[in-house]
Order: sequence, then structure tokens, then C-alpha cells
Amino acid sequence: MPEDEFLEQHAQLVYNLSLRLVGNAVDAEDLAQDALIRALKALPTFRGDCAPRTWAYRITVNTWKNRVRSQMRRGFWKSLPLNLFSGGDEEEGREANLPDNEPALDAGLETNETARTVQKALMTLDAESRAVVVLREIEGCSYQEIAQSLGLPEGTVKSRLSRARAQLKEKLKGFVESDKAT
Amino acid sequence: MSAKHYKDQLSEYLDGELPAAEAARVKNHLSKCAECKEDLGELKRVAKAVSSLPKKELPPGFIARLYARRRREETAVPASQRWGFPVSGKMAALALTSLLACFIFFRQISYRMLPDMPGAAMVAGEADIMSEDEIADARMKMVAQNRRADKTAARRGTWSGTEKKEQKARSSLVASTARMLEAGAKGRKMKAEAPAKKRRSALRAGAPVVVGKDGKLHRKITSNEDLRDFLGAERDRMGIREIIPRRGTGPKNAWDGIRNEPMGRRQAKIAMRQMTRNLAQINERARWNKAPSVPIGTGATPRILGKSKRARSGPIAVSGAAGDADLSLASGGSSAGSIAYMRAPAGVRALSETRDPAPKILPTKQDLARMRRVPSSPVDRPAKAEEGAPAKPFAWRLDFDSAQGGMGAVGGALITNSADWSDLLSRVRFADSLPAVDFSKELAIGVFASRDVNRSRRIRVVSVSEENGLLVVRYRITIDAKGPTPSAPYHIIIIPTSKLRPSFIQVP
Repeated sequence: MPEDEFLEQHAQLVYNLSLRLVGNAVDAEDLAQDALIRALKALPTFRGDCAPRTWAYRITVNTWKNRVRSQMRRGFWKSLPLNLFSGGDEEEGREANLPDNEPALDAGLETNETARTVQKALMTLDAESRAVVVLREIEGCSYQEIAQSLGLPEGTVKSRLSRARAQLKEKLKGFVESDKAT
Repeated sequence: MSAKHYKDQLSEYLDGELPAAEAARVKNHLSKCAECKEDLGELKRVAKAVSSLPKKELPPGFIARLYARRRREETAVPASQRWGFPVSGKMAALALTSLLACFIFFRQISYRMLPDMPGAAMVAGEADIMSEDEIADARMKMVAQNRRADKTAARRGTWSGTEKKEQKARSSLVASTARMLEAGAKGRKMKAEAPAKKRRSALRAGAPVVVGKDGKLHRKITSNEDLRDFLGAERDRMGIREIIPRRGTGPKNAWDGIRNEPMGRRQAKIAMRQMTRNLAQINERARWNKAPSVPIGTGATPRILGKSKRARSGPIAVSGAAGDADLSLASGGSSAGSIAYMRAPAGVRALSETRDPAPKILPTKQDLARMRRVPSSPVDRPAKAEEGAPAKPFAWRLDFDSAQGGMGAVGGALITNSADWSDLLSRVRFADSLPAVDFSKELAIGVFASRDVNRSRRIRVVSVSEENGLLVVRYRITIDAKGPTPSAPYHIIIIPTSKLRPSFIQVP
């Protein structure tokens, strides 16, 4: 597949997936570009054993996971100097106050209230669950496609999705209720 | 599965991913159970809310930025290459750890010249003056220990049996050390009444030189440190290569001394440090168990030992009148049976100063032709061969080369005995079993190129032939197309023996 064609078909998909995964436009563009550059590099070796869309998702999700991992590492090291000057007893408390590793939700990203609330709820999920939900609900992937994209067994995808939905249901409880009422 | 409800299946049911029979059961249940129905409704609303998140268009200029970034990344030099060697995070961590381990390891080494007894006893307060018997005892111990170490080294083959000179020097060192201990002890005895404080400061004042009973100057060694310094200097002076680390007791495993309980971050940091220490010590012990003696110089910088010092500073014999064009044999020659490292003739300073000077010395065909014409008068050289006389080529029966593990210095070597052979192989870190060479019928030739951190290079002997009364070894340095990895290449071949002087020529 020529590069131009690949980008034309998948750049937006990758960008949207990135947007939902990271929750703000700046990081999303960065992630999407990173993932697309990797994809373009690997394009000549793409054997076509899954749909190109699934393949693009897989690369995006893997790139994102790597970032999350390195951010966590950085976060850990960054937080060390604080502890160096603190007494032993304070540590537990400080641990709880460590800044969230997730980047802040971009206020300008969602214009309507619903979308903002839902995206906020999405960001509370752990990385893998978020990826599952986004691929299923937003990108409309089948369980099999999700499993391929994330490199997980299908059974795991099912249970993750079920659990993530239950979590979202809790988070959005008042919201969907009011939604229903209107 | 709950007997009453099907809550766990609702998600799959919603997506239509349940098998038909199961789906029918859930459907049946839903018609009766208001709670599950309500749950399903909520799930549906959640799914709808998420899926209704708007799709965003690509930001303007996204693709252009993508291509620009890609170009940037393709042209940028990766961090690994900037450093000149491939560094991944893991590699760097490994290097750092091994550095630490080496540091700890070498700190714990005690010289084999130094037995536990005399030095240790000297700084131990009351026991600091040794009786005659104790000195004699210490001397015997020292001699025995050295003998054992020699045997070990000889067995391992790292200590060549021909180094008589060194051994002699070593045993004389042992004797002189013992003499000095004796002298020192006597000197100390006279001062035995001096206040302890004064004595201690005298200990730190270094090793004074005193006139011994034999009328000669002796160094008076009064402390463990002095003795160690002295022995270290002696070792360096004589080029002794073996030091034997003393075995110590250490941690049983990496977790030794670390409590198995939840920790705060600070305790965890301390525990991590402890673990690193433990690992370093375990590594050291493992190394000891594997190879009780460690040759100096197996670390990061392989050194050319043996005669190199003299050969380096002294004038270098140039073979042939066109001498400024070839690398020729330093003193020793093939008959001396030592590794003779080729050096540039006087005046060609580039050899030791540039990264790869060889091409500058012998790059052209004219030079080769000049080399062949060499009509020299010295007595030790056979009469000039006829111009155009057929060169007698040598075939080699065995050869091995590598882009790594060479000495990192330019040179050629002619090896004519087994001691040098094993020495050479230990230096090029040829880890497999030694190829057997019968030095009565064969000899080995090695060529080495300088260390190159930017390119992966190979060096190969192209031909060996008898020309104009010289054993002409032609070699070629090639750059591996594979890319930028550091290299210190070498090539070693084994050919039928020859009494001729070697001459090394690089061919393009």
C-alpha cells in the first residue's frame, strides 16, 4: 500500500483514537504522529494478516502504552527529590498526593457538556480498559479486532470491556440518569 | 455465574457477542427481571454516550507536520551513535552496574605479594613489632604463596613459562621485601619506647630510606599502606600481570539483609542500594570461583605488555632502504620467539597518533613497487632477488578474524612459540579452545587495526609471500557496509614456518 493512501485512510482514525486515549489535542497530535511514523516505517513489512485498520490501531495503542510506561517512570524519578527532604512518616501521605500521571483534560477539546463529562470519565479508566472501550464504542471494532489490536486474548477483552462499562456506569451514574430524564 | 442474575453477561449481550443459546437465556431472564433490565438500559446509555463523542477532523497542517517530523527523525543522529557505541537504556544500566562491580572488585583485591600476616600485624597496635621468628615465618609464607600462584598461573597458561627474567625479578623482590620487613622491624624495635602517638604519625609519613646492614639503601616499610604502595610500584616496574583477589564471604543472595515487608519509598531506595551491593559481591564471588586469578589489563584498555616499553622508545629497525614506506619489525625478530609488535619507522609519527594511519603510510601502488625493489645491503638480508622473480606464496591452513576484540592498536605480530600464542589469544579475547599450532613447523601471523568507534571495520590478510628475502604480509582493511558499530578488528593466520623477517603492507 502506498504511503499516501495509507495516510489518507488511517491518519484520521489514528488521530481520533489518540485523542480519546490521551484526552487532549496537543498530546494526541504528538502520539498520532509518532504512531503514524512508526506505521509508515513498518509499512513495507506489513504482511496483511489483519486489516490495515486493526494494524494501525495496534501500532497506536502500543506507542501509547510505551509512553504511559515511560511517563510513569519519569513521574517516579521526578517525585524522588521531594522525598529526599521529607521525614519517613510523611511518605505515605505524599504518595497519595502524587500528581496524576495522566495529562489534564483539554478544556477546549469538547465543546458540549456531555462529551466533556464522558471524556473525563474515560480518563479515569486504566490504560488497557480505556483502549478497549474506545476501540469498541468509538471505533466500533469487533471483539476479535480489539483482541488483535491490543494483543490480548478475546476472553480478556470481554471481561475488560464488561468491567470498564460497569466502572463508566458508576462514574456517569447521575449523568446518564439525568440524560434519561430529559 | 449468579443463579439469579446475568449481570456479567449483559455487556456481551449488548454487543451481540453471546452464543445463541446463552443469548436466549439472557433474553428470557431480562423479560422477567427488572433489575437486570435496568442495568442493561444503563449500559446502553453509557455505550451511547461514549460512542456519541464527536469525531474530530485532523488539525490543519497535520500531514505536513508529520512529514517534517519524519524527515527530522530520519536525519537526526540517534543517541546511540552520538556516543559512538550502541547504548540502549539496558546497556547503559548494565555498563554502570559492571563498572560499580569492577570498582568494588578491584578495591577488594589484595596483592598476592602481600600475605595476610606481616602488614596486617604491623598496624595492629601491640602486635606491630614482629619477632625474628615471626618474620621468618612470614617470609616462608610469602614465598610459598607466590609459588602456588605461579603454579596456578602456569596451569592456566596465562603466565608464560619462558618469562624467566620476570620470575627471577619476582623472587628477588620477595627476598628484598622480606629483607625490608626485617630492617623495618629492627628499626621499629629501637623506637619501641616512643609514645604511641608519635609512632603512629611516623607510620603515615611514608617510607623513609635507610642504610641497611649491607651498606645499601633500603626502603623502610613501616605500614601496611607503605608496603602496598611499594609492592604496587614494584609490580608496575616489572610488568607483573597477575593479581589474585582474596576470596571473601558475602551475601547469600540479592535479598540478603533486606527485610521482607512493605516499605516506604525511602526504605525502598536504601534496599535497592543494598541489593546492588549484594549483586556486586555475588558477581565478584562468582568470578572468583570461575577464575581465581585475574590478569591485569583484561579490563577496558588492553595494553601491550612485555617488551613494549623499550621497543616503544628505542630506535626501530627499518627493513629495506625504502623503509619509510613499510611497517617493519621491531627488535627481537622472529627468532627471538617473542611477539614483536610492528611499529612505524622513526619519523612516521602518524602511526600512533591518527586513528587509521596505515593508508597514509602505504596507500599507493608506487609504494608497493618501491617495496619490491628494495635492494638493501645489510648482512642479515639475502641477496637481492631478481626483479620480477616469482613471489613464493604461503598458504594458510587456519585463520580467524573478528571485528571486535582486537588490541585496538595498529600492528602486526609474528608468533613463533606457544607461550606467545596463548598470550596473544588471551589478549584478543579469543575465548574458545586454542587452535593447536606446532611451532616447529608453523608460525602465526596477526594483523590488527586501530580501534574505530565510528565504523565497523575488518582487517584481513590478503596474501603472505616470500619476496626479496622478506616475508611480505599483505593485508586489507575494509569497512563493513553494515553500519556504524565500534570495532577493533584483527585477523590471525597460521602458515608454514619461515625464518624471514616479516614486512606488513596494506593494500587498497
